[in-house]
Amino acid sequence: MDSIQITNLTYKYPISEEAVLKNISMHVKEGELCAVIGANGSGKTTLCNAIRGFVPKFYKGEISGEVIVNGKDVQKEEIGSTALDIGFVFQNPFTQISGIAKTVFEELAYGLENMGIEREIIIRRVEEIMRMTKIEEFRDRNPFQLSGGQQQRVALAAILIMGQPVLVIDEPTSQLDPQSTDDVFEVIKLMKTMGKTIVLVEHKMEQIAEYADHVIVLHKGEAVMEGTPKEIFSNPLCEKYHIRLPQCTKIDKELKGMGINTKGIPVTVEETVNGIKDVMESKRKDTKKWRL
Amino acid sequence: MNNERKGIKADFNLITILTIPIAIAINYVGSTLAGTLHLPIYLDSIGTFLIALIAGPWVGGLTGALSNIMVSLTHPIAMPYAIVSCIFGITAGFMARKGMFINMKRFILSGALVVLMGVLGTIFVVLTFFGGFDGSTNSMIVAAMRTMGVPFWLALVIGNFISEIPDKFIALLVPYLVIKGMSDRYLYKFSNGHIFIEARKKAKEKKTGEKKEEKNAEEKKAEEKKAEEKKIEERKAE
Amino acid sequence: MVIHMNVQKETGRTQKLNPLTILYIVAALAVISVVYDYKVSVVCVVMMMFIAAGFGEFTSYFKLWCKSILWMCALCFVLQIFFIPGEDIIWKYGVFQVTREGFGQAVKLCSRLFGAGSAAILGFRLIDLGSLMAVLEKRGVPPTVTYVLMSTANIIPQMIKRMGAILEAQKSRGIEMESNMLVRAKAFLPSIGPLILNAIVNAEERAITLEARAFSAPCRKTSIRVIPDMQTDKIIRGLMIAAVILAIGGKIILWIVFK
Repeated sequence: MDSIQITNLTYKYPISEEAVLKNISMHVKEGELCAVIGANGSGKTTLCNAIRGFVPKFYKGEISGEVIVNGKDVQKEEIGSTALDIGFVFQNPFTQISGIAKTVFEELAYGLENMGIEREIIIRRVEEIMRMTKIEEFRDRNPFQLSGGQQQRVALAAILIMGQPVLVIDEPTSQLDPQSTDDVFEVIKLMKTMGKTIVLVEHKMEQIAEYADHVIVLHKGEAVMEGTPKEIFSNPLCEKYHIRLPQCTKIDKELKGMGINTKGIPVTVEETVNGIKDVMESKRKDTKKWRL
Repeated sequence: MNNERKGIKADFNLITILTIPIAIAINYVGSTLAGTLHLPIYLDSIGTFLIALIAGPWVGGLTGALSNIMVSLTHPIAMPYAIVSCIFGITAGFMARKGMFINMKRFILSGALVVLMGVLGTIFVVLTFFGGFDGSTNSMIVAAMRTMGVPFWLALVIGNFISEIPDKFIALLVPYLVIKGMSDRYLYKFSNGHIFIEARKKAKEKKTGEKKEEKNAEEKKAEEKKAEEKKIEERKAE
Repeated sequence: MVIHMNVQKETGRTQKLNPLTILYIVAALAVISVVYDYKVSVVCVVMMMFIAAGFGEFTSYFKLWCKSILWMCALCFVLQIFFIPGEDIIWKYGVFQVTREGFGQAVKLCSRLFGAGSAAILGFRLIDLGSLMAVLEKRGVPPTVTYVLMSTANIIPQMIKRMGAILEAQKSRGIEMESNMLVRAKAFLPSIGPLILNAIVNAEERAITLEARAFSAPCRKTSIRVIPDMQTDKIIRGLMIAAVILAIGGKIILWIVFK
């Protein structure tokens, strides 16, 4: 079943001349991780805002087309009630703390308090989510005083705890160091295993190749490519749309250039290793045959 | 600008509400910074003016009053001056709404009005609550003038003008410059934002218009020159 | 004064007082000391000292009190007795003269400042803002109002910290903070400008954060803070209201009688 259905979505910011999103149609299945990639200014963040309903309600401007999330038309919903259906996390870790919580514990509880959940249930849920996302050590720290990476994990946990079935995550790691990036992806992996439908904007192609079920490429506001990570990264059009390939795919490309013909195009480390192994094995067999 | 709403409720949209704490913090930081740099002025109303300029008189007035109430928790003397801060916010907000902060000429005019309101408000507060002397630098100036034999009322008026003029003009200049540096994208979300955006557009059009005129004039000159040269050549040929 | 004895009896248990109750006590003391003359103000302030002690906050309260209230009132008093104009000169030295009118005025105004100011900082020391807001929200104050107050209290120290960092950066770029006033004034704008712009940009993202956390969801909000509101709280609040009414009523009667 489709969790997110977007049809012919076109949107223009109030003061800009040109549309930022042009006639976009896409579907995301329930429980799927859909990665949105594309160069800067291709409309990825705007697409996220449109799915959550911030566009056009918060940013104003002109919109046409339809965004249906779990059967509800986002544009017709109140901006406040959509919070109960769609979770939203974005780039800047520093502005993603509520600003009124004294501890990480209170920070996680804040969303549930706003949803009117009973106190006992909130406390239980906070404990549970802190354990699952491995942030128990921050429990009594002031969220303002955490590092960027820690804040981003708290932000993810603070959304995860609210239990929405659909999560929109916009470049969560773009301001983080490699270790924090890994930590953040651990949380995203957890979200996926919990069966959430996730729309993820991300520049780190290695992670996309590993975690995404489905990739959409945006270019100047249009959805130009769509498919599995394998289909996308093996498509020569990537170069045209300035899509950086995962390191593994690049290695394979170089190898092929040197005449080492691996099977297919790998996108993950595992696939590359297997590919090279296969080539080496067959080479060894060849030499053996020749000796006999 | 199709989905623009009007009225006080529209003034208090979510972004504006979230900017109120920031404006109060800017007031606080401004006065702390003025203290750190040992400047002889307060600069404790930059945030109030900023939010009044972009979000209008009601938000400005509320922010001003709230700001003083917050400060008075540790410096109780600031409490009665909440009235003056509120007046500052309202005055600046009204002037901004009337487009009186879009260029330097109008800025000076608005600034003068803000100072005048400030002096009147301060005198009212300092008389009713402190008999004219609240222990600030300003009341030292008034006291000094009294020892020199200046009448009480005159000393009060002069003393307040001396401290209000530089303070309020600088406190207004900072948001004026900040708004110039703000992109339309952010300005648009505040209820007074469109006033600044439109003024900017007009200024731009005017500039390009002037350039065009200049160009036209140059072209005309060039043509005239050519015509003259032609005439000269023709004469030579004759 | 029976009312106030009650408060002092409670000192053993005051830690458990509801923040709203403390607010009532502080407000009542402030109103009473403003309505009556300096003798009552002094009594009220002494009571505040006892209350602070009851909460185990005496030292911190007293320090803050000396630094702000005592110093401020002394300064105001001196200025007012010397410079408020009047006819009846009671003391004179050179250009300095104290008039009876000025003295009376100074005592009246400073005693108000003394009482109300001491009450304000007592409230500041004793009331936990978060708890007070939670109580108020439960009593129907809109969450936007409580958010603005809480967020202000949290943002100010953050901004001060960031300003410190910017000032450091300015210094390392060779901008002198100790030189003449023009240079120092010139340092002001580049210090505060980026801070303001950055803060405004952050406001937009903070708005999105709050929306994401169901801030404007159409739900009745709950709170994980448990703030007990005991029978004693209710009694004290009732007594405080009664005290304020009595004080104001008494003042009006006194006024009519003496007229």
